[in-house]
Amino acid sequence: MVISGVVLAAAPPPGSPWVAAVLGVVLVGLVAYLLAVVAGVLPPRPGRRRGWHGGSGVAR
Amino acid sequence: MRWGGRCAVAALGGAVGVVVAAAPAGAHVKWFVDPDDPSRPRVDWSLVFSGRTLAVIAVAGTAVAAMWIAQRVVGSRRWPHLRLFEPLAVGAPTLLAVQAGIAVVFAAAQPAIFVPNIPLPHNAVGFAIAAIAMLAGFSLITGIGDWVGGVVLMLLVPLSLFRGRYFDTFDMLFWIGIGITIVAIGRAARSPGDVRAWLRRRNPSAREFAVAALRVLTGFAIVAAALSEKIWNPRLGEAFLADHTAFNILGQGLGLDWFTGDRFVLLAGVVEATVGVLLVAGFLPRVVILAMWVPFNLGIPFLPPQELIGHLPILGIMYFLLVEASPTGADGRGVVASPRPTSDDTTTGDRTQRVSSSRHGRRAWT
Repeated sequence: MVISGVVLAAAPPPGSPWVAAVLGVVLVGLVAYLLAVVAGVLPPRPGRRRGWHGGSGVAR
Repeated sequence: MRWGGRCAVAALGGAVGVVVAAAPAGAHVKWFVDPDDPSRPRVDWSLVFSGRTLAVIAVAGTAVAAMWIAQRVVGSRRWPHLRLFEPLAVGAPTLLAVQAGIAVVFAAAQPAIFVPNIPLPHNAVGFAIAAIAMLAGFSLITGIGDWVGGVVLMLLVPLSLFRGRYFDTFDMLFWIGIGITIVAIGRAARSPGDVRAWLRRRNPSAREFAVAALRVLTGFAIVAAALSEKIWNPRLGEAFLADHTAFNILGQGLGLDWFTGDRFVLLAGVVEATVGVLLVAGFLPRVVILAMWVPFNLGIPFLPPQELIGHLPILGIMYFLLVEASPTGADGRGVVASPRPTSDDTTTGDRTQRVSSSRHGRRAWT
């Protein structure tokens, strides 16, 4: 994540740097969130620590 | 045949016809144009609020409703339950990791991140990133430090924003899904029902979450590709079609003049976006995967090898999602049993453990 941030800061995209910065933060945040959930640090959703079945909840 | 049956057959036939007509919907147009060509058509933002977007919403919404109803009718999210999937599931995580690794290494050698349309600069930074990507690819292929390789894969996605072509990054969202799946399950796992032992102790539902993330992110990536290459960027699609006129089966093959290149591009985009939305929705994912096989494979024989190599990760994801199933039973109705290592677990040490279904009293493949 640090490497991603450094490279983005060192080589700003040709488009709006703010858009790239926001998208970069969102994507790095998504990666951090997924890793934290898989590692058991965070629940998949607030108030749902167990019972994730990866589906829509219909006709399981 | 009853009226309802005739309608079902007609609907199925129509759906198959549409999918075949839009055969190269999975073709990545961006891979076959110069990424540094300033004349490469960009997304036409005026089309966001247009009939093209409305067509996608209408078709995708109808398809989601139809799949929801179909799932209620068959009563199972994992339908169809074929015993064929049991042996196919063996080695699926390895297949996914190796196919992803090959694509990463192939792109890094160019050098590029994931695909040709995200080239890296030919300087020290570019070559360093390519080297890191190549090491990540090798870790996926060999399984050595595969969880590190998975994390690197995930971080390469935000790194690709440096090009400033944001939709090119969104197209690659599925790599985050592959990365989290490798982290949770591991390249050495023998089936999608496995999970790393040290993760199981921390989070018993790590596998299910990772696989759901893989499915949803792949769906978003497919929708992004459909929007940025076809629906909101028809000029890019038509430029591709100008060099591959035979892809317009209805227009060129059957001589239907009214089926112009623009309409073909729109149809291909709508089919592709609908597939992505269905993956995100998660109703009958196996049926969706089977439907994906047509548009994502028909174009391969008619395009350069990049089409196959670039799609290796997607094909690996499709295979993985087709044969994977919840370890809690055929439809998730069972109860997670305590891990029961089998004698085969000695081959992979304590890296993974088999999950058994207490309801069926046998290995849970489905």
